[in-house]
Amino acid sequence: MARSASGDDAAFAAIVRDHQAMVFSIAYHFLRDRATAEDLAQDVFLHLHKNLRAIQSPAHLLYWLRKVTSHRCIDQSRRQKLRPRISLTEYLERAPEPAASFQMADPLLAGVLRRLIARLPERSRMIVVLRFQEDLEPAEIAGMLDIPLGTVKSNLHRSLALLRGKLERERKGIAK
Amino acid sequence: MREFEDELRSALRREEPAPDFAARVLARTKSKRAPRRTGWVAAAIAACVLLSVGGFEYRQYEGRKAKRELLLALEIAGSKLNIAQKKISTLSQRTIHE
Repeated sequence: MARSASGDDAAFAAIVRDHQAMVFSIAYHFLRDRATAEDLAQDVFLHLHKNLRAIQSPAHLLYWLRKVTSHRCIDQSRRQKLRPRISLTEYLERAPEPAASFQMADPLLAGVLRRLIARLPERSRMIVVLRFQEDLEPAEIAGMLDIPLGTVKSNLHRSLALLRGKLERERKGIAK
Repeated sequence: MREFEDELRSALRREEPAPDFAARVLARTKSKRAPRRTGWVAAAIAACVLLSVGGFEYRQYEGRKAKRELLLALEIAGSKLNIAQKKISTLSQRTIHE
């Protein structure tokens, strides 16, 4: 860390390689677009490069990368689509069903789940990504997204219930 | 519920970006550094120009100030000379009358 802060390119490249999968995957699972996710991940590492002196430890680096990536993803998504503020239930109910071609082309459970997660509103989506990709506890997610713990817990609970319900319907659709 | 959460973990497992990702990040850090260097050079040139212009202006100002002071000194000296001349002429007139 100290070496990369003092301008050692090889040390910085090692940091990028160690954490690129985490940063890219948070962005990719959130944005569902590889090119946009790679651009965003690159921007996060460029921002890190400018702020290396502020990083105090490997744990701080991990926290910093997750926090910056999460906030940038939410900002990017909001810039792309200025969605109306509606409840999570309304949002999922209004969201269109996956096309039949999608069901045929991507019948795997993981693919269906990713598509369903992609339909969640920004904050709920990021909570799900941080909880199940990064295995973070609700308290850690609350700190990272600067929201109350109760909001994270209730949001997670509702998101899981809705995703399960949607997945069941998807499965029945595929079975028919 | 546990099974569903495991399904979510599996769906959201980490993935690697393109193989040249780290190289592209490094290339971008270098391209970001370059303008900063030219920026410093530009700032240094601007500072030099400002200093020389400032120095020139300061010298001009000092010259004008010295000129003003010299003129004032000449004016004062001139007036003192006039007074002295008047006194001399008064004294010489008295000497003639006596």
